[in-house]
Amino acid sequence: MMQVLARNKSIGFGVITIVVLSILAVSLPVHRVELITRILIMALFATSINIQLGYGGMMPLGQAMFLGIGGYSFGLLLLKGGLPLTLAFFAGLLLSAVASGIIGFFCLRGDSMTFALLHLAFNILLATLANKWISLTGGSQGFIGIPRPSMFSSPLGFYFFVLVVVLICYVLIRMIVSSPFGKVTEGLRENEERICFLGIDNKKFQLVIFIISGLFTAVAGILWTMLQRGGFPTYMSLILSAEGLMMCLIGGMLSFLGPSLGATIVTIMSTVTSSYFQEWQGLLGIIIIGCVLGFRGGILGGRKIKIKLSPAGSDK
Amino acid sequence: MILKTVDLVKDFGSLRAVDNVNLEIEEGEVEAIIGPNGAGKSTLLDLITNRSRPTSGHTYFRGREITKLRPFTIASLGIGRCFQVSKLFSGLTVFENVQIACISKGGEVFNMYSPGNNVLEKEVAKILDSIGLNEMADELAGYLSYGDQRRLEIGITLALMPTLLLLDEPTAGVSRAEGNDLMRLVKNLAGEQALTIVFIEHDMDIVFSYADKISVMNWGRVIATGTPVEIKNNDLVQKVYLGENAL
Repeated sequence: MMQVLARNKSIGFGVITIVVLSILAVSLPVHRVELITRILIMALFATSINIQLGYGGMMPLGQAMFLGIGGYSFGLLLLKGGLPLTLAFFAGLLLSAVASGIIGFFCLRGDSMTFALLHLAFNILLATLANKWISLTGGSQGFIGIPRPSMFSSPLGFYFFVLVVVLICYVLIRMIVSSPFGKVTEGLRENEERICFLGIDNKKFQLVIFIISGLFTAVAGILWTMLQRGGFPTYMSLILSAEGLMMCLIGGMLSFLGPSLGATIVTIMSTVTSSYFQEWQGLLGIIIIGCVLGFRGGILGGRKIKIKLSPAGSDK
Repeated sequence: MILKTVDLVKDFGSLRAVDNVNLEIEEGEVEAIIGPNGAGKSTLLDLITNRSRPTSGHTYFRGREITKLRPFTIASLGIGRCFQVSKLFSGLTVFENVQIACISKGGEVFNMYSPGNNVLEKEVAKILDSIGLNEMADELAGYLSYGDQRRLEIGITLALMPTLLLLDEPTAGVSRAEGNDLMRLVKNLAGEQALTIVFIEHDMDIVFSYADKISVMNWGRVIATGTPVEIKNNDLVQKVYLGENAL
């Protein structure tokens, strides 16, 4: 009974959000519509990071590489491979899944510190590739000429296209994190060794989380490429990776919608605030210090508070 | 014989923590491992579950060699392990703690589409009932008293329906009364599930009330194995461990 209620509540919440977002889009001027489109894509980016960060307790320091992997494989399949848009979209996702499987395999060789650092290293490696493998990627110029789906090519039309894709992803992610798989994911965050001693292959499980997270980031990357009508190495910048983590931190990584709220704040700051106040990233830094030291769970918090287990004895 | 170790050795640098241990555990037995601090008791359990890899030697579970299997495989074969310091999902509720164990046992780990909140509710309730934590189902595990955390740890492990249960100081840090409750609980459940139990314990009252067989370790070696009466009357054991006043 409670679950049906809870589910109806989130369905209700979803419907209200869609209505508000639609009204906003129709009533706002074009450049603001584009801002909301960016926010939606960044919200998907942050939410996909949070599958690892908030739910799985993993620290993906270089997740922007999957924006790049998604965006580039989609864009290059389209431009160089000559595939039609829909096919390029799904083939791009398939390539991204394979790539995240390979990258995840290596990142998960050691402990959580090794994971974070290898993740960062792969990000640097791929960003360098995008910059220097000019014949394939166009180097620092990137590539341009990515079309939007023909039915949704106007700013408003594209906005609704993004809205639908992002919503589908949200429904899927929500389903995954509230499934038995999601429960085990949270267990992994709380105590990886216990998961292992419950007979679950913890590394294999983390790899699955990693691939799922990478796939949804790749979707965000493809949308981003369509929004910019091209792909650029800045998609894989370490700054964007860091911003993604900040979004989760600020909004609250222990709640499903926290990262989306964080994405909204960070994106508005980076586009709106930066036109009045150039050092906006400094302001972001201050907010993050506040979140880390002050309110741990970010703005939306969450019921789960990290606490130390009881004293007595030391583990041998 | 359910568990057998053959010449198990573990070196940490020049220190030999476990020295040629040959353990034989019969099915259905409750065996205590006792010995002074640093005798290698916890390390021995680590070697059996391959939490750390033995320097040499072999482990057999129901006749099958498990020495080099990964810990999660060993767990899924039916060896449950409770740690000296409870390893719980401290930020999750008591219910969820047991539920995750049931999800593993039920083979639902990669089920990504069913709603997870009430999954395997009945199985979880049964376990909570047996460990007496029904009332606490919605508490965060990290907020439980130490004794209740020990209880929960045992519950999580039992949810896997192991055939062999390894307990590392199950009653350390709890009152004697609570310790006895815990051991009674374990022994009752063991009877129901046909469990074999190996436990490390410092409290001699508990050891002599619950163990069918006792192995004594010192400096990494098993220096004596026998029934409680035999161990009580063993001169060597008296000397290295029990002291004059213990009995």
